[in-house]
Amino acid sequence: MNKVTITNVLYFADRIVAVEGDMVSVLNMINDWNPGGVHQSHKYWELELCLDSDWLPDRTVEDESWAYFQNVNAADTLPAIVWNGANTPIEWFKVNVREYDGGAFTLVYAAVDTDVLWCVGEVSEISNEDNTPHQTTKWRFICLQEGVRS
Amino acid sequence: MVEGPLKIVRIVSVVANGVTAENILSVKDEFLMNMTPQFVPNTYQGLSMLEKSKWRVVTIVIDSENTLFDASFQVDAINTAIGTSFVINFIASTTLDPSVALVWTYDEATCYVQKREYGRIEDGAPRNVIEYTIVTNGQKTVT
Repeated sequence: MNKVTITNVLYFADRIVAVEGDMVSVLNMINDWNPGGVHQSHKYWELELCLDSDWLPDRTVEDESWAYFQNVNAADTLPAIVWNGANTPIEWFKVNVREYDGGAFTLVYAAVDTDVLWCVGEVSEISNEDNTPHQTTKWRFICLQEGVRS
Repeated sequence: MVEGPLKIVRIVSVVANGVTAENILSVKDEFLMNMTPQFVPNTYQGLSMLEKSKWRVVTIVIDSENTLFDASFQVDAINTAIGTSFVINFIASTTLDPSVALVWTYDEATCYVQKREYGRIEDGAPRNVIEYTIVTNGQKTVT
């Protein structure tokens, strides 16, 4: 298993994306007042991870971002982003959350799974403006299977 | 090998067309990836991912004005690629070194000025800024 442990997280967010607009929409019946049920849409999870700048696979090498230099597939051969090729499915994606009362839980989107989760976006925002609290890098992912709370 | 955070502290300068500008207010680098989940009818879960083109959009906000991109756009001819170099210099910090010179270098031959927003000059405004957007399909290297 190839695992990147990232701790400089400013926030993590997830949402369901329904391809046809809403997860369900009403199924209208011809010449009837009441919908006859609902249409179901295609769905997937979209995940967003916002870091305080970036995360390095080796902190002695400042020019390497985890997404380009740390292998994330089961075969230990490819990183999450390949700038001039297909991105690599990430086999392991868990988010450890601390709760208000000190308890903890884990959101599991991929656990030794293949072809279900990919990195699909990267945005870095750097500002010289006064009182900028963080210089951020946001990573966006798509997960095709169910997220599980454990 | 010990993993760790890299924290960018500030922007030092942007270099383009042989001009070095230090009056940079902000930089935004978006790596856009055209990736779409694939579905079949009467199913809910996606099967896999369709991957198409990838490109970067770099937005640079300048505090007032400089001549960084003047040679890269005009209204009476095609926009030419940025010449000489396109580089953004930062100061960053790691757990081992509090002051690291970090450089983002773009393949200038593939960098084009995509947009130039209103350059507004207003008396009493906290800042008068001009925003340029650069599009590129070339490689970005970090050193």
